Amino acid sequence: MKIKLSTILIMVMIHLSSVMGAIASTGIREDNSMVLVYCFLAVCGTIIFLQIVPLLVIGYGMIKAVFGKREVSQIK
Amino acid sequence: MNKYQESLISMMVFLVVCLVSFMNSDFSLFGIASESMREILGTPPPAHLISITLMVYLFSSMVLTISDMVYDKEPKSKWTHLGYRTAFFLFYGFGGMIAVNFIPVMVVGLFLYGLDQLHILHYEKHVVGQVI
Repeated sequence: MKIKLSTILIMVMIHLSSVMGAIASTGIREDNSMVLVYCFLAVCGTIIFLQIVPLLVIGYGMIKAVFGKREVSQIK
Repeated sequence: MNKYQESLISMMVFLVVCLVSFMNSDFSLFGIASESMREILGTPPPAHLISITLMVYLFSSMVLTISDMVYDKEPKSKWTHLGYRTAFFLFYGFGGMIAVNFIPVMVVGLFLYGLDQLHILHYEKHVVGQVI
């Protein structure tokens, strides 16, 4: 007996929808808003992009300058 | 208004923020919010994560300013840093933890302002050739 993939997916979705309803009704899962945490993450992201990325670029430049190939000037 | 005066004004605003935070150190912003507002805001971020962010900010800002001084780069306008430094007070304030973490935030802020002033003075003296 061949069962199509779409049929299996529909069955899984129907099953999950019933389970989610049961979880919501019993209060196992609560949808807490996290606006403050998102604001904090936004500040962290801004610090990373404006502070850490230039710091890494400077660090990379320093490492490259120390361990990179040096040009030797030849006096004729 | 030159960079030096700009930095001084920024530092004065930061000191006012520090003073307001110190006067309300036992005050929790989260505590005075209504129930519906608390549901919207959610839980405040934990204090140790804010402290880690503060230390990362201190280290990165310090290294960037010192490298700018070493390479004689022109000092930039740093009004956004006032926002960062105030944001740390706000996040601690939402958790009601300003009383414990007031000194580190103030010391970090003032230290970085001092470093900025030093950078401006160094640039004006050695690069522009003008003493403020």
